[in-house]
Amino acid sequence: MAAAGLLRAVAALAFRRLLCAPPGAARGCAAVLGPARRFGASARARRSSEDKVTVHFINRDGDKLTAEGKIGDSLLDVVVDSNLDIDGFGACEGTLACSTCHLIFEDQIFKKLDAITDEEMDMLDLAYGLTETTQNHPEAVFYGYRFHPLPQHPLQTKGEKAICRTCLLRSRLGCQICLKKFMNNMTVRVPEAVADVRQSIDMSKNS
Amino acid sequence: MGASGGWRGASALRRLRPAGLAGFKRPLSTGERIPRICIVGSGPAGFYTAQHLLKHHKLARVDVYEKLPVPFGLVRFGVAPDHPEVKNVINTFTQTAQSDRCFYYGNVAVGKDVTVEELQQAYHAVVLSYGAEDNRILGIPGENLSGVYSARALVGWYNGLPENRDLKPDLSSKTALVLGQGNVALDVARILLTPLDLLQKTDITEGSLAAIASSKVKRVWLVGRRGPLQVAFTIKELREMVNLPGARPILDPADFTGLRDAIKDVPRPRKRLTELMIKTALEKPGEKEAKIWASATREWGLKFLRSPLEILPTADGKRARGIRMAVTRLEGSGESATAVPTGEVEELECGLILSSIGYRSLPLGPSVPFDPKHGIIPNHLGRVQGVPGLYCSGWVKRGPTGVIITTMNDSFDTAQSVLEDLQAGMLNVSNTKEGFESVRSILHSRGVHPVSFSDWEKIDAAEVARGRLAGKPREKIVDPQEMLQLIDH
Repeated sequence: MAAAGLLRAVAALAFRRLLCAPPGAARGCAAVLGPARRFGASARARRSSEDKVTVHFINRDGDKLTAEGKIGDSLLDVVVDSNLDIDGFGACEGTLACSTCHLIFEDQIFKKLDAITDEEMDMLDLAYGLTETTQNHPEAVFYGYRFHPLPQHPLQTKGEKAICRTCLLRSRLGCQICLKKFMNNMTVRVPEAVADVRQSIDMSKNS
Repeated sequence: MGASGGWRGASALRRLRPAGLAGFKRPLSTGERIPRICIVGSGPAGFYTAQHLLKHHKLARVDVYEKLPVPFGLVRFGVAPDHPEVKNVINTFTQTAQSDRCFYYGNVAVGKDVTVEELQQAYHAVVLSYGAEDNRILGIPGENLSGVYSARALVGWYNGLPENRDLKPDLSSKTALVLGQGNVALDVARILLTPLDLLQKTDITEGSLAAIASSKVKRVWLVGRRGPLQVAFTIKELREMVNLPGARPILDPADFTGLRDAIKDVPRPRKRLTELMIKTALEKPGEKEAKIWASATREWGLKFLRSPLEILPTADGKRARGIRMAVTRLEGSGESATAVPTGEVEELECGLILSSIGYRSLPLGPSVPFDPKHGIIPNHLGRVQGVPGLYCSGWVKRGPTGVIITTMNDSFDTAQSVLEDLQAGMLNVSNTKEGFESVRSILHSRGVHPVSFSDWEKIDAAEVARGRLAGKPREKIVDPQEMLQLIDH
């Protein structure tokens, strides 16, 4: 059983690599990591601290979590390696098959990120949910997030369930963003997920 | 290895400390009672609900009941075999099941082997996460002819769902037609058209692979009552079709001209999805695509504004030979547009017709409220209306839509409702409940033998070993009796 489990784990890892490798998927990570990834733990430890990048995560409840990662690590790697407590983060394990590692970046960092691929954008579309606009507020796009903690980003919402456009434009998937030096001390935000618009209908009205 | 493989991702989840729920962080006192919670259904909704409960309550014990011997519901039986990456969530579910406060009881049909009332006696809280096991029917003449199947049955067949293992779909027709334009419709179209050398590396069942190998299907139409702006599939699945090796799209340019103006102000997901259809239909393909499409031996297309009227039988009246459809036009616009018949009718020759117009939940018994109109259990934030201590999550809670993240969020929400009710004292935990200990004797008296999670791990290992011989990730066992024999039941 242990062998089968290990095999599965290795298969999952190999699969992830496979998916990260093709052009358009996880550009950057694969290139930077290459051989470095194959070093054992001791080799990694010998690498200088210059290769470390500190990242702050603002969790859904507003808690700040701080972790360190190596240049070339993806933000999903950082969350997993540091056991950061972010509910449901990285469900598909970095294979671009879900959007649970959705993060919002600071403007100055976001601008410097590698261009987004169609495949990542496809998944981010699902993170927002295929939800509605309103006739009265064509700008008020409902993307299913409960609160917005940055006062400088005006909420364009009806009720509480929206994400501001500024944040919307700074969204990426953590599994596709690999650490680079300029990211040191950056802060990324975990959007608060909320029930799909359809399910927030109060069912008690039905009887 | 520095990378985060599956097992690390999963184990990290286990080690997470509770956060944001100050009320549940209080130190244990000797008098503290153990809440006994059970979950009905071991699909994503069940396991995500269990995960959240176990993580945010230090004492709660969670038992997960499953009708089939094997766990994971639609992750095993619904997710397409060529989407193994989506199945990575199984690693996390496995970690949850291996928690010393979580127990899995497969091969137990709630509603038959044990009633919901009996579960309510045995547990402080019961969460119904049994999904949507039925499908909506077309309700048109000829629906029962040979050659007509629900897409759901076909999915169950190629994914090894025991109840569909003998489907033996007739794949001798050159043209297949799928009624519906959602992701399930695209899944079945893709599986019917994918080159065999790609399919045989997936966990598709042996029997269905052999049947697909001799399939004559060369063209698949996906038919919708409404227009391109109302399709229900998502962009990832559409892009896969556009890039499918050996297949070319056949889209009618007339369906897409002038659409660009209509999508200026729609939300990004709908906009990008429509843009991809427009690009595929109207623009000159890139060099790579042009090459694939030119040499393609199979094709797929979208038909809009058609509503099925009747399945046409062959001369002997036994099989489907085609379909008669009403031509429709749209009234209104956007998501809420409705299709109205124009009076015009179209007939199309096709011997394989798959209905993919949605799944449906079934009521569980007289004691559980059910809203037949919406096909869900009436609830507020997962609390079943009028029945304290009864909860629901997943498709039976909100209807059969959404991707895995939708179910994850909604299951976390339901678990949160349970935790809040525990904290508010609304679930009387001072009244000790036996949980499975009392269910065990009920099951025993009825001759039901539950399958444990370690039993499943034996089945799992056997499947993986069989798959290895065939160069596949696993060869699923499709006969429940064979599964039970394997674990000496």
